[in-house]
Amino acid sequence: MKNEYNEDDNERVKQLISRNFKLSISLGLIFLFIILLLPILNEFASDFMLSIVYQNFSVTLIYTALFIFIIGWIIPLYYTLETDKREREYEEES
Amino acid sequence: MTFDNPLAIILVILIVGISVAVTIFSRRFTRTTADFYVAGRGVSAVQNAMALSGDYMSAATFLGIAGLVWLYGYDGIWYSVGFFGGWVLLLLFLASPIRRFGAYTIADFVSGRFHSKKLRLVAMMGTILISVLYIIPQLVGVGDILVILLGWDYATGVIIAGILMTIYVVVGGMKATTYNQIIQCVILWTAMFVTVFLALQQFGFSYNNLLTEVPGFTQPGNWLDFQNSFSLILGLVLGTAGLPHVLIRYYTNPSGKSARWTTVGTLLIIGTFYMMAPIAGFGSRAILGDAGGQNTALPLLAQVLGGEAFLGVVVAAAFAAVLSTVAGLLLATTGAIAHDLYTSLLNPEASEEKQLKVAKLSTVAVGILAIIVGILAQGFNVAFLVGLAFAIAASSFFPVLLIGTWWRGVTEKGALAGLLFGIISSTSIIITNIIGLHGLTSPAILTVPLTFIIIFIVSKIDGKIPPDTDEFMYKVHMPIED
Repeated sequence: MKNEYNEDDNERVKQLISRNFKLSISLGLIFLFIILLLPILNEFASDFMLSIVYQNFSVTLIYTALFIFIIGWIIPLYYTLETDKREREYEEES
Repeated sequence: MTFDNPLAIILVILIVGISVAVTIFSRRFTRTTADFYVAGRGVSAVQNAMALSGDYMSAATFLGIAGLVWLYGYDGIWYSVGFFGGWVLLLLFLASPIRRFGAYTIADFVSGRFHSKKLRLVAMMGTILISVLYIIPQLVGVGDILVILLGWDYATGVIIAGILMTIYVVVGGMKATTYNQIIQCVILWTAMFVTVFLALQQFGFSYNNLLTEVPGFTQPGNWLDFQNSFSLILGLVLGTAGLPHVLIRYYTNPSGKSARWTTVGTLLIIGTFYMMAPIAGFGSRAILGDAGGQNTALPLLAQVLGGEAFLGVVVAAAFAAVLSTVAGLLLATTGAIAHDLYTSLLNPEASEEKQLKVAKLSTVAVGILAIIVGILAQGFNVAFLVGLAFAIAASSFFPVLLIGTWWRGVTEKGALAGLLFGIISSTSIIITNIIGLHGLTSPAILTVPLTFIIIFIVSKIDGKIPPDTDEFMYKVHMPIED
């Protein structure tokens, strides 16, 4: 694939950026929502967050110390595999 | 100076010896400025993930999170979540574009995007401010553990650690720093794992039994109210994606694809580490009671669990944490002074040899400054201090880099206004909080949205989009293997 920028590529570049941005922003907003929801729930739904799920583990403890980390692995893995796939497709088209 | 724990001394010397050996070995690879700053852009994804993890798992994370959980319980876990979460946004928005741009510093990136000397200068000052704020708690951490656990006086610990770090960055550059950070990553992760293993062993390998011993510490609100916890988490998450010493390491990847896999690997290593750190904190509270310390709960726990031998291991690991992080920060600060100020603004005609000489002299100067400020900052909590550096990065570099990478419409004046506002407003709020004028400990909740708004409004009013914006977008977004 050529490395030099060519004005004829403008439309393709814009389409690619737009597609990639949609993927990044949707995954980014999901993750930010999950992480910022935690202090909000702790404040405004404290009874629910302090309710015990299992033994000494409350909803808030499981959310903070386990759930966020699992989501923080799933989203990056999905994004990386999806982006690798898109780049392979793009290279094959070029 | 006394030597209360000879085994710990031997282990610290061993860590230092390994670092020196690696530095001497790496010296043969550091001939050009590209070798010094970005290891010739030839670091693989696995190596980089381990080096980034070693770089990022600082005294704040190794000592600070366990200390805060020991002190405040649940509220200390915010730092684990925030330090981890930022990497997700870094991957989604910046990892590949930063690498594809292919430069040495963050100022290179903003300057390349907007062709502005003013932006380069402000970005350089921001890099120095954030990096020095980040170096201070590392040195405070090493001073604290050496004074309590080895009987050294605080200043001696800071001076010895500062000199060592400066030497191995000056001699070995990014290559030595990378190899050392990989080794330190293994040491840190293993030390945390063994501590947690031994702590859980005391409770029949049951996390539930451990939590039974810490009533009152497992719910939020012992330290931070809603406003401060929300602002802290926002600052930590967005700040990670704006930290200069983290971002410049992306330049060492061979390609954009490699940069993405580097982040996935880093998330795996630091994620497991940050899941273990709160367990060590709760373990410290359950086993030590009130006899812990905000920066020393972890080593004191290690002493109870594994005697002098394991205390030595944890002290050596903490020393490794400080060495690896400060080395990365020194490289970022050196790049700002030598590359952004000297080579790019003051003497663009400087020879390769001259540039390398200035880079090494800058490292020595920053190393001396860090030692002096580190001695003066005795007594602060390390995770809290690091949180401030994150808040400034979240309010300044993150908005500018995010918008500059994805939005064509941003202009030089918009970026400059945003960067200046972010640095000045977040720093002002931090200082006024420290002197007691208000209770907002982390400014991100105010400064991050305002910085985005300012960049948008000023860019719209200005309207002078750089003429080569399409070319820039092509370079940072197209899947070209560099």
